[in-house]
Amino acid sequence: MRDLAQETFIHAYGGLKGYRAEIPFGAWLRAIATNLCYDELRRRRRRPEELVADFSVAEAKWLGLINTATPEELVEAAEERREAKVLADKLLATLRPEDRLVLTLQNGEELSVSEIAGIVGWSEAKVKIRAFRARQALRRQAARLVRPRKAE
Amino acid sequence: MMNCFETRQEFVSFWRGALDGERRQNLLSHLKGCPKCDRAFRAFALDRADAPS
Repeated sequence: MRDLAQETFIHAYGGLKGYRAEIPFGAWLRAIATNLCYDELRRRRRRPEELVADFSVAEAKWLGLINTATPEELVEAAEERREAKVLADKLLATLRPEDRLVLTLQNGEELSVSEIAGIVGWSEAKVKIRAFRARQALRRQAARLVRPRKAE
Repeated sequence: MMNCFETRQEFVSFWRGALDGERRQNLLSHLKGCPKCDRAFRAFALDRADAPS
């Protein structure tokens, strides 16, 4: 969806010369977006297998569970997912903003190093170093948070 | 034995772990024997996975 929105603006920018002022700009933009959506739907109908590739690892795993697990296992798995998310959010909140940003883009949004570099305006090497240090910091925080209880 | 309507009414409570032993057992038995409700529950689970309980 985001890609299509971006694609719409790229097409609009490229076609600005052909824009006629008698048509409202919004309607013109919507027509471009609609045509791109139709193109995308036609493409997906031709190659439905690509849709599976759109899912993240976690989403694909969840879909697998939906098809195979018992209802009780599904409830348990959903609870584990929620707990894991709460823990991940708590851990991420302990990081410096730059570190949090890199990890969120890399692991949450599943962007590549070069994509992240493009977004934050750093070199790819800096992104890699930041991500490495952020993961180390995260590991340290996780060890503190989930430290095993001492025997009483 | 629960019917399909009653079973589907209990999805939310089951998801929240709020069903007592007998109701929970009735729901699970119904899901086991009713492919339509089983599919409905899986669709419900797909939708609820990230929602707070």
